[in-house]
Amino acid sequence: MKKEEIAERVIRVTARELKMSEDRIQPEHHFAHDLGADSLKAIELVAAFEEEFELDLEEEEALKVKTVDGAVDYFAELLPE
Amino acid sequence: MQDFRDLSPEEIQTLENNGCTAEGWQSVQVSTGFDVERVRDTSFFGAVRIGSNSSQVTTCGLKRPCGIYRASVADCTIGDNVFIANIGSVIRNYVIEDGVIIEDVSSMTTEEDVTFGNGVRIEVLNETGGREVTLFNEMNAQVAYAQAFYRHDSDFQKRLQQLIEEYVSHQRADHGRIAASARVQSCGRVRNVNIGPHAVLQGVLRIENGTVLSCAEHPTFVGAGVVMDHFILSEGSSVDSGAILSKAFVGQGAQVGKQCSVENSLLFANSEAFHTEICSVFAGPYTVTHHKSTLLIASLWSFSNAGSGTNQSNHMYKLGPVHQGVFERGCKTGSFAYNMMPCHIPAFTAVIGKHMANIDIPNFPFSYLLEEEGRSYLLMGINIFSMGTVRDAEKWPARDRRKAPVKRDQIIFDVFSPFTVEKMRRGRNILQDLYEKTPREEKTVHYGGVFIKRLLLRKGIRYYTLAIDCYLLGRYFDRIEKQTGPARTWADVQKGCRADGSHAQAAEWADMGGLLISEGRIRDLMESVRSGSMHSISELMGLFEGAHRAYGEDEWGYICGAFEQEYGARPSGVEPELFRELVERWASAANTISVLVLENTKSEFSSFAQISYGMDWGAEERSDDFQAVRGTYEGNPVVRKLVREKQRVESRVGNLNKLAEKFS
Repeated sequence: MKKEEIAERVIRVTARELKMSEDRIQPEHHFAHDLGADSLKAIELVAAFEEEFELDLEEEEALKVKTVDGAVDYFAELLPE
Repeated sequence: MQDFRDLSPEEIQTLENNGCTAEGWQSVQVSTGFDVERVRDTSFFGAVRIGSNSSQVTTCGLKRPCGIYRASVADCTIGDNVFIANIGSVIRNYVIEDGVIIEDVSSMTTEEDVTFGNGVRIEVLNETGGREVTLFNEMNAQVAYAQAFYRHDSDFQKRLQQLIEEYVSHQRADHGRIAASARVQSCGRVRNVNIGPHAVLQGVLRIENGTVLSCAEHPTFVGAGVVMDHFILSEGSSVDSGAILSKAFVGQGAQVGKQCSVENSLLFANSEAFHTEICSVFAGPYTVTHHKSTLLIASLWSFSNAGSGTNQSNHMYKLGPVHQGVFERGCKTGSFAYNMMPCHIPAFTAVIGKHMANIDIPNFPFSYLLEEEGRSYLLMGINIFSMGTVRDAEKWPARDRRKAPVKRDQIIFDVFSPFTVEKMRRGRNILQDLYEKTPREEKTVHYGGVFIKRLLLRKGIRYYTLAIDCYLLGRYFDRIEKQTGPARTWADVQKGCRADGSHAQAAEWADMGGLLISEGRIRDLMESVRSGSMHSISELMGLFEGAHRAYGEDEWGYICGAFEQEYGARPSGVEPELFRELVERWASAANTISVLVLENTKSEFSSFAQISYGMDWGAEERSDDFQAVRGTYEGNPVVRKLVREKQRVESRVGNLNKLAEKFS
């Protein structure tokens, strides 16, 4: 999958799950510190990404993803073009 | 006590000279070692026997001569070296054993034909009755649980009540007993109360119809401003600071105080109740509530902690206060958490917010029950990864205060057990079914009074699977590692994994007031009561002790059954190839759980946790202040233990794989 598409989908899912508009979300944003995803919201967000990209994520790996950019890179690695 | 003799005329004269009177001096007897000079300003009524009083007692740091001073004593037997002084009204119908101190007490009386709190019926859960528990001195949480919750079997109940009534009839007496070395000081009215050895009652306002069990190893304390009626206190308990108890049982090592009021309730071992209002509650072991504005009503709790302002409603203004709530072991409630009853909250669940639905979700343990915009949402399995759960598992056994020679409540502390694991297995099936039936367009599903976000259904399945694997496989490998002597063949390894006994299957388990017990064993136990083959309540207590001793064996039986359903073979039938797969599966589950618990713990040391620390200083001081107060992540004992366990996973995998290799 192209990285641009992944980025677009990551932002769309994040906006939907965290109930905010897509244009408020920047690539460098930290899910917890900047977007207010507490530990419980983070679980929902991971579940939403899993469904969006039809993947089962290892919890340990998912923990390493802290930012929007990081999520895009992570999924780009799992879903090569 | 010794043989008693009549007073001599000289002794009677001396007593009269010292301000004493008697209805009839011929009814006053004394024993060898009686010093007549140590009885002053005292009136005797009826038959009174007085032991030796030649020794001293220490009260308020002063050594004082034993004897009777400024008192009225009626129909009492007084042991050796007793100190009685300043009795406002009378001490009547008591056996006062050796070394007792009774000082500054308004009155202590026992009427005829009383049972000292034994036989009192406590209306737990349903305030209007139907689940009454009959109190008796040696009652444990299990017998109380059987009385309250196994009402479906009237024959069992009838026979159980007969056994209890037989016990109660043996407690019936027309005199009370203040047992050896007890102290009753600065107290108001004491009526129809038995007081056990070494008990200390100080500043009690009024106590009626009860028993204070106590022992030298763990004296019971009843303190200032306490008012109690129709009660039994167990050894090592403490009731203090203005507590009000009416129709109550307080278990061994339990503490009640700080103006807590307890009515129609049972508080078993190591419970702590301060400030709170407790009404018609079955508080199993380790029920803890410390705060004002908290009401626990008509409900079952154990291993729990109630936040301030916790509240429940059991009354819908229709048939009266008839609704009940079950909060399974390990539940915690946040500040101002509210549940509408009836409700059934699963084990180890955190309740946060106000829940206006009738929630019935026993098969989703280790969850968060949250309120969001007035709706109840469930996050299944999230508490598996909570540092709090790990800490709880450590702290309960470490905080067992009971020091009496016999620990009456049978307690299994395990967090992960057949009780919780079987619920997770059932919960996982329910989630799988909900996931398959819910269209992708749906945001939530509704089940048992709660909303579950559809996206989280698979997470719940995943979390429960991790915990089930970790438990079943972890226990399986424990068993193999504990086998004595080196296995010469793979058949030797398999042989050590067989399950014996009639309860070796994956089946329902119950948490009977702290005792985890298989359904089969409960049925056997009930049958032995119902059939009349059990002749006393102590025999029944013995069966619960037996169930406690058999827990390990029964647990293994459960594991064998569940293991076969999960992995396609019983532990005794696992071949090396499957063994290696299972080692990998366990390692993955154990590692993931460790990582997630450690991650959860990190939040306790994050920048959020440091809010308000070092408030008058800069960032560096904030960090230093936090470390000084809370310590460091790396230095935290729970973290260190988790890290050690995580490291152990790797070495264990190596050893287990070597074992499989050896026999491949």
